[in-house]
Amino acid sequence: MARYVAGRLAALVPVVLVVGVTVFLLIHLIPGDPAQVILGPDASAAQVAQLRHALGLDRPIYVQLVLWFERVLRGDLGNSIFLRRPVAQAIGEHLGPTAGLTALAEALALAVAIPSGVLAAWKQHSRFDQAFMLFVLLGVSIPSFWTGLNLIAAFAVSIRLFPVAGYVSPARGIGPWLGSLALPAVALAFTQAGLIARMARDSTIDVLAEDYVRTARSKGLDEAAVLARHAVRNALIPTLTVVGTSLANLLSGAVVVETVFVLPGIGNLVVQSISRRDYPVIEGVVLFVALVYVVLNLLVDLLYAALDPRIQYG
Amino acid sequence: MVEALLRLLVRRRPLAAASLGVLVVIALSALLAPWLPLPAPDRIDMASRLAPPSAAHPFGTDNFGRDVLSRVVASGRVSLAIGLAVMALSTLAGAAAGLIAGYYRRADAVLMRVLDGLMAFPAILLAIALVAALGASARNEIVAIALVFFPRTARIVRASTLQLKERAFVEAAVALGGWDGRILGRHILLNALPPLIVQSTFVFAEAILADAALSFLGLGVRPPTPTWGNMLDDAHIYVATAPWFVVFPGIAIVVTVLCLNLLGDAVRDLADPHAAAGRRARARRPAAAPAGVQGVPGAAPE
Repeated sequence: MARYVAGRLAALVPVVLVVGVTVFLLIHLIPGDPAQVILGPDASAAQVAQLRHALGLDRPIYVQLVLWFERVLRGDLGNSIFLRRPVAQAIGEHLGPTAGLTALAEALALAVAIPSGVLAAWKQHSRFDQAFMLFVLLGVSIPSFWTGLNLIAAFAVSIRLFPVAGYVSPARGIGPWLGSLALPAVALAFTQAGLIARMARDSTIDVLAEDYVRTARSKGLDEAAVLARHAVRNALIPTLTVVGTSLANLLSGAVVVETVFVLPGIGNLVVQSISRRDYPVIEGVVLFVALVYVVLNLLVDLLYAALDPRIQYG
Repeated sequence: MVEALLRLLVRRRPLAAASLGVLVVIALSALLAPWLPLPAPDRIDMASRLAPPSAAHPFGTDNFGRDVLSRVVASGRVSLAIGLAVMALSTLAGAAAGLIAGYYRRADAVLMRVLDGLMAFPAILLAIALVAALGASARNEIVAIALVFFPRTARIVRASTLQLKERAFVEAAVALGGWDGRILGRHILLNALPPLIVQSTFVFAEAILADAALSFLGLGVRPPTPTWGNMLDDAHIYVATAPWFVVFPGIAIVVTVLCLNLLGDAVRDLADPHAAAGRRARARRPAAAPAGVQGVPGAAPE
């Protein structure tokens, strides 16, 4: 196991390097002088020169790259130009709503996806299975922000069950907090539920074809026990791999959905930073989310190996 | 050949055949939009602003009294063109990168690390950041979305290439002294086409969703040129007062993307009858697990 962990960690190095270089290059993609673009046409030459110096843009690009990596490795994501505080601090302040939203959406998606996926597999090719597959495709075909708009129309305007928009901190009560996240979480969960459910269905179908399931059935075990004790537990292991991906998709989808529901999360932070041309914040959030994604996938892989010892030798 | 394929589709996958029909209608309406008997999409009529659906305006009118149906159709022109451009660009780049990585062992190590790194970014977020840096325009949006999606295509082509280059007919071509370009283009790419075409369909679908999200955030094509995404951006504050304004552009997105997904799924299953049902989910998300190498006879996952 230790060797496997070391190997997985070593494989991360090039990925993290590419992620870092890509994020570093973002600001250099800005056409013209980034400092001038950030400050706008009204800035004086002295102000532009000062910002250029503050961002390190007046140095050769390879020096900038080395300094950038040095800084990021220390956990310093730079400073927001508009908010006048460290980017890491700004991300920290906006992380709560996004983390809550992502966790809630993932929980909802799993709660719906796994039972329905297993059921569809058990009743493969039935009416239920066909309808299920259509729902799965519908899930990946609907923009979650549009689902969100429709949910607002239905459950916040027509039936005044949930607030139209806005965020309530959990410090002011779990109920209101959940209420403020319910609609965006459902909107986000729909797409992810489809992906997870399909994986759950397909891996359950694979497991149901295994010899040990046939053995279990032929020794007279009833179907419920076969499903619960033999099929589902083994089918959940491959399903686990999509959970890491889906959490990352949720973080990314949250950017757009937070805008619809006016939630002060990191998605909202990015969108506002775009209109403020606050590139250090955009860079910081993109880097942060990509690293979260890398770490989540690592954890999923390690968990996978721990649950299924055959993996290490593969 | 095409007729035989269509007949197969109608018989074996009626839903996918219907999807193809719907897509043809959507594409034709987008193509022929200026000649359709519809009000001009930019004709402002403040007297009938936010009017509900009626005989004169089947989809109602928007906040400037413009006909929502005309605008949905006109948007289709732009959104579908962007989807097509992204598909073309990411298929070309993905095929080239995949062929090179799969065929040349040395290039493989470097290229795949770069692609792995790019795939570590959540797609939409990277596209947003790229457009934020490059500036909002159709061209920049297409480049950004294609850059985000081409690594998945590259992975699929690489997997096919790795399988195909061990096959006897490729080895024979090498032994006969064929030059690499010919072997890659004629022997490998042609045989790797089925999974590539399927993947392109999914890229098309995802590009339309990505364009909708970017346009909704004001990072795509800007008004007055309508796209499905920027219509929803205009519409979303009227969600309580003029729901039709929100509903119809969204339905256009969902129907188009759903039909593309249904079609892609069906073509994949028909192209490779061996593909077990269990391989489907994995093939759809190449980032999560070894890419399916559907369509390559006798191929097994990496």
